[in-house]
Amino acid sequence: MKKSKLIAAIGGLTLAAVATVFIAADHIDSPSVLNGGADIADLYAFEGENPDNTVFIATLPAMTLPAGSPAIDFDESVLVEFNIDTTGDGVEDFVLQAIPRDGVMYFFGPYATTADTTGKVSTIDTNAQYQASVNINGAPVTSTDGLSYYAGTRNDAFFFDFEQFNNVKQGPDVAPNGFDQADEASDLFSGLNVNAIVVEVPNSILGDGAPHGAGTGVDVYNVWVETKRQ
Amino acid sequence: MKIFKYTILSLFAVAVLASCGDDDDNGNVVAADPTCSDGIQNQGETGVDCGGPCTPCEDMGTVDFSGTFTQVDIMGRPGINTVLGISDERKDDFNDSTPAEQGANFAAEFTDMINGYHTAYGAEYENNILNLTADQMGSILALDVLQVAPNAPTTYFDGENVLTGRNLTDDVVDVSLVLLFGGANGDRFDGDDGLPELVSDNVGFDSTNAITTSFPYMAPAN
Repeated sequence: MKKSKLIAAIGGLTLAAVATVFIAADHIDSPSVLNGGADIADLYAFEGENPDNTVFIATLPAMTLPAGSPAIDFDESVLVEFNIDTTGDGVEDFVLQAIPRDGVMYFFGPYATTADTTGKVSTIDTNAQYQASVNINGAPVTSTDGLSYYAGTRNDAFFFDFEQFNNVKQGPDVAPNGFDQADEASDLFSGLNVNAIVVEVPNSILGDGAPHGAGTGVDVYNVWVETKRQ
Repeated sequence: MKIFKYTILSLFAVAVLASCGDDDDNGNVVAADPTCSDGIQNQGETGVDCGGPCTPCEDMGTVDFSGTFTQVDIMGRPGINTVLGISDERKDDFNDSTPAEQGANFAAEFTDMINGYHTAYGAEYENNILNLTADQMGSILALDVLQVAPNAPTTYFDGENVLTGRNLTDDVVDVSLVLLFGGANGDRFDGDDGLPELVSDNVGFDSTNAITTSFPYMAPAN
């Protein structure tokens, strides 16, 4: 796609449609979590191979690894929690929790939230209707309810000339020409690995969503991922 | 690079569409399907006939899931805190916030950062292709959730649809740069006429990354 087409198409959107877009993943973003097992790298959410399902992927930790590096274990003190707001108010209506124990990733949910499972402090609902466990770096699992689960180290899909971005951030003294042209630009994340948690959920469990906050006329789930430490 | 990138994206889309029609016969059919009572640890079970798709193993009841867990990081859309956080301290604050709190607490300083990037290059922000001001952009971005549409194709932006999710292949960086630095026509700061290149980082999805159209979608580790 040529840039002119992309520009023309964006230009045709309503103002609110912008509502969101933004820059380059969350890799390496904050001193308090930097490089720790709780530092989220990326969040993806997309239509599954079965279009009646939605796929949720969280990757971490933020510093991805070169090929051949020993795997970094998932941190057993860190709960990874997908938050899904299906009513458009910015408060999670469902959570889907994943926590590792001794080489196995345990999944709880998605389940409807209560006062104990919304906000910044959570507990794990071991009575949740949907539960599963998978061997980390083992085969994916699909439950009889149609949910699929995976946890393990994968090829990081994110791409960004992050080094040049850091130069651009310092202004024209360091990067007078801004980003590099294609023949010099370099994807810092190419060939690196990252830990991934992947869950595919039938939309029938979550419902139809609510109108997009940007006024695009499409019903959506609002999704975010949190890491929570014990 | 760009054309190549979008070619890959198109191929991926075609592959996804093509795969929808005939996945009744996906190669997993075997003479005797594994079950939760075949006495074999298979199909992702974490013990013999338990865990994975079967009922939890008995020892799951002995695994300790008690206690409370307190938020240390949060993320919706890609790169918000990395790019727009004004200081290390405030980045930590952002990671300790919930979406419901973010708009009021971070919009003003995100706007300052948007203006600051322009000031560094001796320029002022110009309303973007959606005619949004820097203030409006700061407000929109401060509420950090990733929308995904359960009943529409996914794209961060594909020329027609916008913000219906995020595919592994979506060039979220370039879409974001165009909206921040592209001005009214999307091509301001395009590297020509003595201006720096700020509307694309000029890298695309890595064509050697063998993502798949089937679960778990991400390619095996290198």
